[in-house]
Amino acid sequence: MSNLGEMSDAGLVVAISRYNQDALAEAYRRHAGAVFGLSRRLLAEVSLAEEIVQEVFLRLWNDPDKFDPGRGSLRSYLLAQCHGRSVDLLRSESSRRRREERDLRRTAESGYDLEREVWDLTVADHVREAIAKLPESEREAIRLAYLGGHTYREVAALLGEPEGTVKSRIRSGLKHLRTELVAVGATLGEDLS
Amino acid sequence: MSEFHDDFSDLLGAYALDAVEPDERDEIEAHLHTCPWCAAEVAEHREVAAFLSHSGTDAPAGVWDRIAAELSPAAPPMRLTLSPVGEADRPASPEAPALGRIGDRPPEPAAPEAGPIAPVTSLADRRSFRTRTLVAMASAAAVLVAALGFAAVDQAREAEQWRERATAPTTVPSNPDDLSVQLTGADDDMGATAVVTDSGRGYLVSHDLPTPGDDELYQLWGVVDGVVLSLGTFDDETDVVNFQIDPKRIDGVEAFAVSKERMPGVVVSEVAPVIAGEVA
Repeated sequence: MSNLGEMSDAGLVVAISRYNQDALAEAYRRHAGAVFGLSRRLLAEVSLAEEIVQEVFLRLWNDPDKFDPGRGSLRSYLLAQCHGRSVDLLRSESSRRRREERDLRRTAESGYDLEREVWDLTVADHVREAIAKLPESEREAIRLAYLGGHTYREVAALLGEPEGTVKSRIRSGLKHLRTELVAVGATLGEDLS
Repeated sequence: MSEFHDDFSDLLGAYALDAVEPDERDEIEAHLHTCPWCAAEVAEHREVAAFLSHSGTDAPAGVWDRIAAELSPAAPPMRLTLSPVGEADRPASPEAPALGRIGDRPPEPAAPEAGPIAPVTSLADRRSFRTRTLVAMASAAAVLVAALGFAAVDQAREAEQWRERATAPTTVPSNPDDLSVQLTGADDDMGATAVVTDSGRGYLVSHDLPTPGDDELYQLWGVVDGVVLSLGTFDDETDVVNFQIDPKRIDGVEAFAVSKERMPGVVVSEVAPVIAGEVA
């Protein structure tokens, strides 16, 4: 297909698997902003976030077969790659001190929560609406785990809750959020539809 | 559900958010390979998590140029691992439904997601090269093979003529109108020549392929219009492998490859080809 701009994400990955650089460029156009935003949020350092973006898209280029459109959207795949790599970096010894400093700085911010994190999402309205319906305990556990890069054990320590409770809240919170997102009209896995 | 499954199901949310310990992650990933229910749940969680990410950010300037600079300047060895062949990329011919691999795959809409558009330097002057991911279908998919215009045919007599006419193991006599592809491997000694006549009859003459193991054989793959199909299996004692291609689709032939597989062949090959070659 000559018009890559109209191609589905899964179609782009097929083209990428055939070493079509323009297809990778189109995937970058669509998703690099989200990947960069998540990585920058986690690492709080632009240069590191840029490295993650580069790594994620080069990995897509080198191993397009790892993406299975039957498992979800390209966007969620790229973000999962980004998150995993960012968290690895975050948890490395060299990043520990920087992370502690960042956490201290954010703790001082007022009203910082998951809803603010997604405030300017393109789909912010219905996502914010869905998040607002989550129980506070689930919302906080997800925020600390996903956007804070903490393990559930660390989250349990931070919240003073049993580990089993926290891992259950993360799971149930994600399930509730999915239900709410569907209810408010968000399209999950939208490049599958 | 197994006890093991029950033990780990409560961790799936944390796992999807990369919030488990390394030892737990290893155990969960081993479990996911055998449990489609848990794998599906993790995929759902990640889809939800993607909504929590900050998508209102522009991609950083300059990063694309760094990525483009690292892209392979020449076609690497052909990939045999599978990749989906999408609806949007399928050939238009109704009698030739492209299939990436056997299994359910949802249709793909042609709707790019909303969101900020990252600046990307045109790649018009960065010539992209063509090679193909091989997505395999084996003899078990004979019906699909037939539907795609390929069929293994009994051409023993004609193949014998070809073999007799061959002047050397690597040389298949052909006229200029035939499609001829040289397949090469890591070992310079081994190789093959694939020839497809204008009638769609194909022949592969290989040489110096190592003897496969007791439970192994060679499998020939062809790529036509981006669709990768099994063209048959053979052993190292087979001089000429015969196959058939729809004459109307000869122009779409892009590559051939041979892989070593377990008997009786595979539906999806995930090993590197022993030899491969693209249409010049």
